[in-house]
Amino acid sequence: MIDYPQAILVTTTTTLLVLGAYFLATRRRPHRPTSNLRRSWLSMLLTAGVAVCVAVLTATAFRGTFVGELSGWTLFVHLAAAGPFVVLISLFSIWGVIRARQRGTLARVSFVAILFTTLGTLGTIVVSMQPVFGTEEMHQLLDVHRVFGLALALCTLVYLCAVAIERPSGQVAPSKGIEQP
Amino acid sequence: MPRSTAPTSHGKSVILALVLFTVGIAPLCAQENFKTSGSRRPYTHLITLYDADGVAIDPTAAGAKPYSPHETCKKCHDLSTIAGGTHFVGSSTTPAGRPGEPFIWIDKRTGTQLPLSYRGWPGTHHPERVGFDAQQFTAHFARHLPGTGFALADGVAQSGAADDAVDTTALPAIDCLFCHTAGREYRHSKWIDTVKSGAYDWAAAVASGLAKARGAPSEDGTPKYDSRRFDSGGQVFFDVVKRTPNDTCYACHTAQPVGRKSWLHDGDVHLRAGMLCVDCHRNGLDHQTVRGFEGEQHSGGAAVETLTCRGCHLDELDHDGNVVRSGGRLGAPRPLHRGLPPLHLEKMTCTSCHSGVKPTPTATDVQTSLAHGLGIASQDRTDRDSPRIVEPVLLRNADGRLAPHRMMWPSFWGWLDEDVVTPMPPKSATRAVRRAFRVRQDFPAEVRPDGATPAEHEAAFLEKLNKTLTALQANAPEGAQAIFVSGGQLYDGQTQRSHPAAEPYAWPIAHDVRPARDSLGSGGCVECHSKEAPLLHATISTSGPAPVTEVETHAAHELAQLDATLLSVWEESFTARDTFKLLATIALGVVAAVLLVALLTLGRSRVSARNLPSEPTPNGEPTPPTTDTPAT
Repeated sequence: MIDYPQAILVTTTTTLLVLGAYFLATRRRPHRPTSNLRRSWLSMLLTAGVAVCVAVLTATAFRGTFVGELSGWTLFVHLAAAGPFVVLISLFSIWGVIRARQRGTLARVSFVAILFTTLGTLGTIVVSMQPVFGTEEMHQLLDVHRVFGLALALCTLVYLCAVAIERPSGQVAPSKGIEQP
Repeated sequence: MPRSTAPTSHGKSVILALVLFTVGIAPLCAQENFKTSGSRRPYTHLITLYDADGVAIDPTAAGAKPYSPHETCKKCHDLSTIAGGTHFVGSSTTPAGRPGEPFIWIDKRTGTQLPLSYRGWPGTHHPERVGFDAQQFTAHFARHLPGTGFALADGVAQSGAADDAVDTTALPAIDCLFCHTAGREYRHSKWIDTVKSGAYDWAAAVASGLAKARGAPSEDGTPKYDSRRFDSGGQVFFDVVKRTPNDTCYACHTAQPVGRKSWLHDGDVHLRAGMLCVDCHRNGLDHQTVRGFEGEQHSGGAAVETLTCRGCHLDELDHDGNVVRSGGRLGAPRPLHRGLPPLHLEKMTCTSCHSGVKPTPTATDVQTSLAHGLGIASQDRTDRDSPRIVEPVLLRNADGRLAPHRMMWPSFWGWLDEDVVTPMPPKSATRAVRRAFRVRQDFPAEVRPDGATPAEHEAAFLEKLNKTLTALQANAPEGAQAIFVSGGQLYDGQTQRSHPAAEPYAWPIAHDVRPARDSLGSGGCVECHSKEAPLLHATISTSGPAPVTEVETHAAHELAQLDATLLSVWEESFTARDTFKLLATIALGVVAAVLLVALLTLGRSRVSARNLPSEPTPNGEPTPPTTDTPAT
C-alpha cells in the first residue's frame, strides 16, 4: 500500500526542484522567444479553467489525505469540481493539440503528460461509477485514481510554469543578450 | 537437646508441594462430577429426574414433588458456570456491551413504560433503583426468561443489595430445556402460565409436558406427573440438543412489524439458507452468548471477531493489503458491492442496508416478545399496544457509523432533584393518577376519550396532570419535585421541556437480514440519495401516553446527525449524475483520441530553434516563423 502523504510530499518536492532547476537553467540563456505561439484569450481561458479545476480537485484530495478521509463537504466540492473539469479538459486537449506544435518542449511534454494522467484519473472514476467492480477492486481503482490525480496535478503545475516562462513570438522583450546592430 | 518445631527446608518443600497439589487438584475434583461424551454425536438424555432435595422422582408416588432442573442437570453439568450466562439477566460477569433491547416495565394504569436493564445501558434504569426487586422482576418478566435463580441473586449482590435480599428459592430456577430441547413438546405458553400462577417450582415440569396442572395450585390444583412419559425404570427421555433450534430463540426474540402480513415476510436470509441463530450467536459452557457486533469484547476472552457480518463475509486486511484473517466461515459469500463507493462501508454498518424493516416514509411500528409479550396467546392483542417501538431509525453507533436502531420513548412518574430524574414505582403513583384522571385500566386510551378533539384532550390532561403532581408532591422526598415524563418531554406542573431523562431509548438492530437484491441501494444510488428516499427522509414522531396537539417529529437525517444543507445539495447532484457519467465518458474518449494524435504528430514535429524567430532583423522585426518541418 502506498503511503500517500509521503508520496505526495516526495513527488511534489521533486517536481518543484526540477522546475526550479529548469527555470534557473533557462534564465541564464540569452533571452529570445522560445515559442512561436501568439497568446490567445481562448487558450488562456481554457488553461486557467483547467488549472482552477485541478487546483480545487487537488486541494480537496490533499485535505482528505492529510486531514482525514475524503467525505462530507470536501468530497462534495471534489465531485462538484469534477463536472467542469471533464468539459474543460476536453476542450483544452483539442485546443492544446492544435497549438502544441508551436509550444516549447517542456510545454509539449507536460501537455502530453496531462492528457495521459487525465486518462488514468478520469478512466478510473468512469469505470468505478459502473456496477462492474467490487469493493476490493474499487479500493484499487481509487488507489490508481489517487496516483494519477497527483501526477495530473504536478503535470499541470509543470505545464503552467512552462507556458509562463515561454516568450511568445509576438511579445519579444528587448533582448539584453543580443547585440543590437 | 530439644527438637526444633520449625519446619526444616525439606519440610517446607513437602508442605509447599502439598499445597500446590491441593490447589492443582481442586479444579479437577470440582470437574469430576461433570461429564462429557467428547463426541460430536449428541448424547441421548434418557435420565432420572430429581426433585429439589435430590431425591429421584417417582411419578406414581402421591405428592410427588416437582422435578428440579438444577438438581437433575447438575449431575453432569457445571451449572454454577452456566448460571453466569448472558440470558440469566442478573449475571455480574456479563459485560454491558452495546445497548440492547431492555425489559420494559409497562403499567397501563399509570402510563408507565420504563426501560429496565441490569446491564447499565445508558437510558435504561436498574430495576433495583426503581423499586423493582428481584422477585417482582422475575414475576413480571419470567415469561421471557429461561429462569433466573441464583444468577439473579448474584446480580443483585453485585448491584449493592444484600445477598439475603433475594430469596432464591422463590425464583424459577434455570430451566435448561427452555432452550436445549429439539422437539416441540416443550411449551413456552405453559411456562408463562405456570410462572404467572406463581408455581415457579412446577414451571419446568409443566412446560416440558411431564406434568399437567388441573386448576390453580391454591385450589389443590397441584400438577400431576404424566407417568406415560417415564419408562419402566423411571427415566425420562429429553431430546436435548446443544444447538438451540431457531423456533426456540423466537420465543423471546420475535419482532413483528405492525400492520404487515407475516406470511408475506421472508424472514432472515441466513435462517432461510438453513443456518441457526446459534451459528453466529454461539456460546461455550459459560453461556456468554456472542452478540455478534463489531468491537465486541467477549467476557470469556474468546476471539469473536469472525462472528460478525464483516468478520464472516470479508477478509481482514492489514495496512499493506495482506489478509490477516480470512472470512468465509460456513461458506459465507464475499459480498461484491459492485459499483458501491467503499466510503459506504466505512460510514455505515452492514445492517444499515441489509437489516430490519425496509425504510418507509414513516418509521414502522414494531412489536417484540420482550416488550409486548408476544408468545402469550391473547384475544386482547392490538396493534396499538404499549410501548410504541419504531424502526428503522438511523443513528450513530459508538464508533460514529450509522446503524439502524429500534427506538422507544420512556414514560413514567418520578422525582426531579437538582436536575436528576428518578422514576418512581408505578404503585406509588397509582392512587394519585386514578383520583385525578379517573383512569381504570388504560391510561393512554382513557386520557383520550372519544368525541373530544386533540386540543381538548391536551387541555384536560394538563389540568389533571397538575392535580396529580400536586398530590404526589405531598409524599415527595426532601428537595424533590414530582414530574411526569412522556413523549420526550418532562412535565413539572408549570412547564414542559426536553430533558435527558425523557430522551428516547434506542438500540441497534441486526435482524432480519435481507439478501443483496433486497438491500437498500440494489435499485440504484437514488434509492437512498434522493429527496424522497425514506432512509434519510422518513419521519419519526415522538410518542407517549400524554396527549399533545403538536406531535414532535424528526426527519431521519436529523437523528442521524447529518448536515441538512450538504444532504440537500448532495441529493441535488445525483440528478445530474447520469449527465456527468456521459460527459466523463465523452471526455475520456476525446482525451484518448487527442493523446493518440499528439503522440503521432508531436513526436515528428518539433519547434526547433531555427524555426523560431531566433534573431531580430536589423530593423528590429522578428523573423517570421517558418512552416512546420518534420524533425530531422
